[in-house]
Parts: sequence; structure tokens; C-alpha cells
Amino acid sequence: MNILVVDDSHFNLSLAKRNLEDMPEISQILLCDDPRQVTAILDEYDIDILITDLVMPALTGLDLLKLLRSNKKYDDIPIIIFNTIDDMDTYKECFEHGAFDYINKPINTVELHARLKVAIEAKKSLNNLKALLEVTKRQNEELKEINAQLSEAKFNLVQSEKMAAIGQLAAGVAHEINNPMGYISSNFEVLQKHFSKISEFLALYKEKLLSGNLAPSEESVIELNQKFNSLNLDFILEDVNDIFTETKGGLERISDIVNSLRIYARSDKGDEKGYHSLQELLHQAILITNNEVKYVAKIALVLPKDIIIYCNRNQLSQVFINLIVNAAQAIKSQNRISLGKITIKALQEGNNIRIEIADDGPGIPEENLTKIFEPFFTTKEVGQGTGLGLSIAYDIIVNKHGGKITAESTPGKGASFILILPAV
Amino acid sequence: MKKILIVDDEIQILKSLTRMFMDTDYRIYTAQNSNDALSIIESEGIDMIISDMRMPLVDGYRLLNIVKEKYPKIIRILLSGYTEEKPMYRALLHNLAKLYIFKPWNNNDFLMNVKKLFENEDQMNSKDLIDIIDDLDQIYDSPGNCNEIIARLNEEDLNEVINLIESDPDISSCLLEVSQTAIYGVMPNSIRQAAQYIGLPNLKSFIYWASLKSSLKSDKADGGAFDTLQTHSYLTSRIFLFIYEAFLHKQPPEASMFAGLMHNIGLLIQLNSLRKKQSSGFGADASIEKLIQLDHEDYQHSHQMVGAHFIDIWDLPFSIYEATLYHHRPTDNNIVHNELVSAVNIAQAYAWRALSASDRIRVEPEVFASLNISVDDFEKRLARYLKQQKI
Repeated sequence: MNILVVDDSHFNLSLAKRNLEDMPEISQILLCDDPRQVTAILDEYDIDILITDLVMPALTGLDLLKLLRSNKKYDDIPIIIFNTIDDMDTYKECFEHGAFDYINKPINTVELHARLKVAIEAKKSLNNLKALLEVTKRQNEELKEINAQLSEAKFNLVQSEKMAAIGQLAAGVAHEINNPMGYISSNFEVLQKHFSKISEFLALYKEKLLSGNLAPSEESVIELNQKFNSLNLDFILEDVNDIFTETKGGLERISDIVNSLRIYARSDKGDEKGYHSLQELLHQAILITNNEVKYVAKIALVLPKDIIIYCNRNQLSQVFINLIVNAAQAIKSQNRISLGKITIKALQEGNNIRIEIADDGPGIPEENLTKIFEPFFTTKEVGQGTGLGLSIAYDIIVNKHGGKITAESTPGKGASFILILPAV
Repeated sequence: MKKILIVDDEIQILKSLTRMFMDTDYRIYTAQNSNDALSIIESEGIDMIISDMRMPLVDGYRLLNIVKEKYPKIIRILLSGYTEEKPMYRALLHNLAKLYIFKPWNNNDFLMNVKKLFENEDQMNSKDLIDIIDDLDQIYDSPGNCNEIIARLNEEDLNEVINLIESDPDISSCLLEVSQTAIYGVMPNSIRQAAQYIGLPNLKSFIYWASLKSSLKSDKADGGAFDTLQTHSYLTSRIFLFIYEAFLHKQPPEASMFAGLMHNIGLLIQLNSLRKKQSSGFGADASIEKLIQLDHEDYQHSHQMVGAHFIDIWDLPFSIYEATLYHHRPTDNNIVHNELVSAVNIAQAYAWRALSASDRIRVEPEVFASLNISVDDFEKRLARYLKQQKI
């Protein structure tokens, strides 16, 4: 323990010192004759207990007390006052302002030791409490962090389960929809054929009526003609053809969606993986997407030749193709005059392979950055795309290959997709 | 009049298919379960069966198996909305159907394919072919060891199959040879890797190739000519896969990886038989030019039929059958797998060109057009690839 004694009288200071020296718990005794320097000393030295006189010309003990107690920095230091005043009020005020204890002057050694012992014990307890508080604070921080990690892990688990479900959903939905689609589209084709036969007959019928060869009564002819017109059959005959065309388009769209689910669910040789050259896979993806990209953007490919990746070739190709096409479509939506840029980079980082596919398109708003991996989430116009590409990509990368896929974006500057895959 | 039986547990599908066949001359029968289907076959006699996979009690897989065994002459078509891999994969492995159609289907395509299948059947039953086959003085059955491998294949036990292959020096060296010179893009460096990459359905084709090769070798087929034809088959296989990968950007249809490898087995078999009879064939003049002539002119028609006949009795996929039967006439109207046959046609022609270093063999421009491939682009990239592979 370090003690600071403050008294304007040098005699009192050395007396105090002599009396304190033989207390074993006290390691350092500092003496100060000018109360105005106390704060400086407290700041510089590690003082545990302060003993101060009350009557001092420069600054009274009470004022010193008030000064110190007004600063939280010094709250931990018990302050003992030398009692030389018979003035009860001042006395009372001292304690009201945070004095810890008092020692009578002239100094009685036994009393001094006793008082100091109390102060020392109090300080020790205070120190322990403080230490305990620090430990508790630290544990609290740790708990908070673990809690945050658990929350995130739980979120990811729920996400990946959601995404895993798409695999099963894909198979189930595809099959369930395929059956009715089968007979709807087949019947539809036949309906068209039926209808053209009916129209053919109607045309002939109309022609014969007008020419009058049927020789029905005048009234009948008029009635038929009137009926034809009031039913608006001219328009209907044409409109039905339009309806056929449009409905056929709708059926084809359903077919496309189901097909993309089907292709995904029916991976060629199960989940078989093999070693493939990353460069080759990317080259192929670029080749396949050439038509979609060539008038819209330039592709820059930056990667070392020798990266080998252990993966299911078809699935990974699907992911690359999807990301490249998305990038191209994003750039295309800006209707630029000049070509945009799609950059594909890859490198080996320790046990992982990091692949980045970036575009300089409009970017993705921050609130969408995690939503984009949800099935059917799309910002494209109704009818464009299926909204499944990224969720399928997510499932392939995360569930089937144990990797990570994230999206980053600066709105206005572009977006990039980062894939981290284990190298082995 | 041809009779077609349609089997599906969903009555709406039966009605729509019956409607689809409305303007045709076929007599249509329907059944909602396998038992009824089998009774109809028993009592009426059927020429073609179109069946769904998923059905109560006895499913399509079992039904087609029974039909295949009891009534092998009935043409089987699998019509399925079933997307799960396992049953489809097994159906392909066991060659349960000549054609696999997925729901939803296109009416016109469906009708055309049915027509083509019937016409093809008629063709293969023609008298000419039967005469030629009778003329061959040998039955090319698979040698003993191959039978066991085929049996394991049918039991879908890939590990056992690999073990059996590894334990047979002829077959394993043939597999290594094939995997190193008849495949595009991948270079498996062990039997196991090769077998896993190739997969069970394709391994079946490979085993028949290996056994044919053993047969011919043990027959002491003329070394030079046989080797040249083998080299040509390997190169054709490679270019075939190159076309699919680099230009069509997809894999060949299921179980038809070795369409290019098998396409000319008819020629191999026929020439060997003729040689033994001391007529032409693998004779003293086994030059490439002579072989090209035999392939494209002298035996053009017959060797395709011979090859297809064997593919048929070996129970290999219909796509390979068509590749063998039509590889010199890819624009024939009867072909169902047009894309595949065109690819084989181009591949075999350019394989001869590479081996003979001459431009004599040409491919009809419409064949390239049907695949949307530019001739110049193809020739350039093929030349680059061959140079790179030091062929």
C-alpha cells in the first residue's frame, strides 16, 4: 500500500512518516506539504490511501476533500483527516464530503496504526471488488460474443436447411407438376387441332350460306347472319387463336421452371465428385454463356493455371454459368453504350480456393444481399428467369461442397460473388 | 395394324395419349395398373408398350422387366415424370426401354418417334440382314470371363465389377487403353478411376468391346488391319466426345458415351469373317485407303446392319444401336437420336481424315448445320486439339 500524507507542517509530516514506517502493509510513504499539488501526485503515483490535515493555508483539508471527491478518478482512495478542529460542523461536513475516517492530533501511534489498519482493509476489499468486477465484465463480454456467434450459426443452419429443402422440393414439385403438365399440354395441342377443324367447317358453312346454295328460307339465312354477327364470331375466331398462342407460352414457361428444377434434382451421376481443372471449368462456362454475354460485357479471367478443384463438375459449372449470366443481365439492364466488365478471379488460399465473379453493373442494394439466395427471390421483371438460380447455387456450394458463397456490393459500382471452396 | 398398350395410373394421362393417337392407324389399349396390362398383353398380343414408372403395387420398372423377359419382341417406351435418379438410372442400366420420354412431352415428336421405332423394327427383320448374319461363320458371344462381369453389372455392384476387371489382364489393359485414347478431356490413371468415371451403364458397352477384341485377337485377325480399325474406333470415340463437350456443351445421352467406340463393330466382325473365308477383308492389302473403301463403299450398307444387329442382341442402349446402324446416313428419316448419329458421322469421317492425312472423305454440310456447328470452326479447333494431343 502506498500512503500520501498532506500537511503544511513539515514537523507533522515527518512525525507521521516515522509512525507509519513500521507498518508492514505500507510499502511507500509520500509526503506533500502543498495541498495544491495533491492531484498531480495522485495522477503520477499509485496512491492507495490519503491522509490530510484540515487547516492548511493554501487549500483547506475540506476543500481538498471536496476537490478530490468531485473527481471520480480518485473515488477509490480512502481519505483520512487529521482532526485538529473542535468545530463539529466542519467535522460533519468532512464526512459528508466523503472523508473515510479521522485521526486525532497530536498523533497517538496506537490510534494511528488502528485507523490505518481499517483503511488498509477497506482498500484491500475495494481492490478485490474492483478486480472481481473486471473479471465479471470480461466474462460478460465473452458471453455476449458467444451468444452472437451462436445466433449467427443458428441463422446459417436454418438458412442451409431451407436451401437443402429446395433439393427435395425440386424433385417432389417437379414430379407432381409434370403429370398434370403432361396431359394439359398434350390435350392443349389436340384442342388446337380440333379447333382448326371446327373453324374450317364454320368457314365453309358461312361461305355456302352467303352464296345461297343451301336454299334455306330467307328468314333462316338472315337469322343465321344476325346470330353470327351478334355473337361476334369473326372476332372470336381470331381471338381464340390468340388465346391458344398465349396459353401455349404460359405452358412453356411452367415447363421451363419445372425443367430447371428437374435438371437440378437429377444430377447426372449422383453427387459424384472428381478432380477438375478450375481453369477448364471456367473456360467452359465462359464459352457456354458467350451468347448471353458478348454484346453486353467483356470477361476478364485472372487465375493461375494449375488450380485443381475437387467437385461435382456439372454442379459447379451450373453455378459459374448462373453467376456469369446474372452479371451480364445486370449490366444489360443499364442499357449502356459501351461494354461492361465482368471479372473472374481465383486463387488458392491455404486449404481453400477463393473464386470471385464481379461485375460493374448497378450493384445490389444492401437489404437484398442475403435475400438473393432465397428461392424465387428475384428483382427481374415478371416472366424473366425463375428466381431459382442463386438458391440452387447456394445449395450446391454450401450443402454439396461444404463451401461458402457471399455477395458484396457497392450500389452504383457493381456486385461481386465470392465462393470459398475447400481445396480437397 | 400395330397395337399399342399405354399403362399409367393416372387416367387423364391415358385419355390424353389416346387422343394424341387419334389420327393414326394404331389400335390403342390402356391399363391403369400392371396386372391389367399383363392380361391385355396375354390376350391381345401387343407390339408396343408405353408405361409410366410410378404405379401402385407393381411399378413400371418391374412391369417392363417382366415384358422384356417374357415378350422381348414388344417395343418398350418409358414415359415418366419421375425425376429421382435411382429408378431411371437402373432402367437405363438394364436397358429397359428403347426410348425414354419425359412428361410433359411434345405430341408431334412423340408420334414421330413411335413411327420411327416401328419402321426400324421392320427394317431389322428384313430378309437381307438375316442372310448376312447367317453368312457370318461365328457367333460373337461374350467369352466366359465377360459373362461374370456382365452379371455383376446387372447387379449394380460397381466394386465387384472393378475387382473382376482388375483381375483380368486383357480386360484391364483394354480399359486403360480405352480410357487413355478413347475419351476426351479426362485422363483417369487407374482402373478404379476409369471405371468410376465411365460409370456402370457405359461400362457395359465397354465390356462388349473388350470381349469382341479378345475374340478377334484369338481369331488371329490380321494385325495391321485390325489395329488400324481399332485406332480409328478409338479416335472416333474421342472426337465424338470432343464434339459433345466443346461444341454441344453437354454430355452424350445417358449410357451412350461409347457410341463412337462401338459404331464400326459391324465392319470389324464382317471383315474378320470374310478373311477367314479367304475372300477379301483383312487381307494382304490392309492399307488405310483400302479400309476406307471397305468402310464407305464395299460394305457400307451391310456392316452397319451387322453392327446394329449385335448391339441389339447384346442388349446395349438404343442410341448406340442407332449410331451403329446409321453412321453413314445421318440424315435418314427414321433416326430418333439425330444429334448423336450426326456427331458419330462427323467423328468417324474426321478420324479417317486424320489417319489418312487426306481430305477425301467429306461430311454433308447439312449434318454440320443440324448441329449448329460451323465447318471452319470445327476443323480449326479439331486440328488444334489433335496437334496438342500429338495425334
